[in-house]
Amino acid sequence: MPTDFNELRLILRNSYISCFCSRLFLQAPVGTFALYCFNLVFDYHNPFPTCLQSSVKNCFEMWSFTFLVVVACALTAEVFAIPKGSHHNAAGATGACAVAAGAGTVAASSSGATAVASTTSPVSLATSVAAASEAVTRGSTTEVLFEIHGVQNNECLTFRNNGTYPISFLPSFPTPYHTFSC
Amino acid sequence: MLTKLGEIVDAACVDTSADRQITPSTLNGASVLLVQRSFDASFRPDLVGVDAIVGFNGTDFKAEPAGAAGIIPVTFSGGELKAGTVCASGHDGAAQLTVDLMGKTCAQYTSTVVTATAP
Repeated sequence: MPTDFNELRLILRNSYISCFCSRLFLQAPVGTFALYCFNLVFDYHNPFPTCLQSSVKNCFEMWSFTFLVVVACALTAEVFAIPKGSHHNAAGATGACAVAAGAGTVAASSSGATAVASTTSPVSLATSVAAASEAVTRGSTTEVLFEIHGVQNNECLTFRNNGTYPISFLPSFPTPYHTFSC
Repeated sequence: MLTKLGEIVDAACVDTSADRQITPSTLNGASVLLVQRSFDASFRPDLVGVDAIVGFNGTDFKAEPAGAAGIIPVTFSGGELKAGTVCASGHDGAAQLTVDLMGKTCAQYTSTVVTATAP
């Protein structure tokens, strides 16, 4: 039974994160995310973050990364296996992906390096997958599309480079911890 | 704010910079619309360092990695943006491009050739 206020607060915080991560773990495709979350739970270097939201964000980013790794691995295995009909190649691709996923987890779990790791690793993996399997032949003309009867004075289509995650992507929190915040 | 990731929106035509540019191209021989702009790793890490095309992911037309699983390439033909039987149907109240899954109400578009600019 904790007697110190800070100790109690730490336990509450860890329970909160643990519960959150456990919930996400059920939705995560591989155990790498769980490892990352355990690192969060047992990270005592910064037991009282300024805001729990940062931990939630990191968890979510890691979940996204894990999902991306699994998709990329499945795609790679398929690409290697189909042309030659060889189980050996498919297994090799899967093994390489397992290494990549593990490396990503180790990098992401390093204290203070989560943001960089979670954005850099999947990029290089996705690049290698695309480069190995797709052949794009660029056309000779570049165009801008105009929507007839589009938004007045804003009829040209553009591609966003910003936005936020849809709320539906985020899990709800368990009721017993609603009142706790950092 | 409940915006989605990477959707296409209507924007001012006085600017024809890279974020508005597409290049009709081919992917393994099939027609695609190559997206000229680049994307931030914090926003779309799946589009950094890869060729992005306009693709249909089952609900939206948006920038997607070329050759990604489950993505149907969008093409521009006859003034319509189409992915199989699905077509772009216009825009919603937030100027975001909408799609008609049945392909019955398709918006019309025109194209203007521009000089490609750096992503």
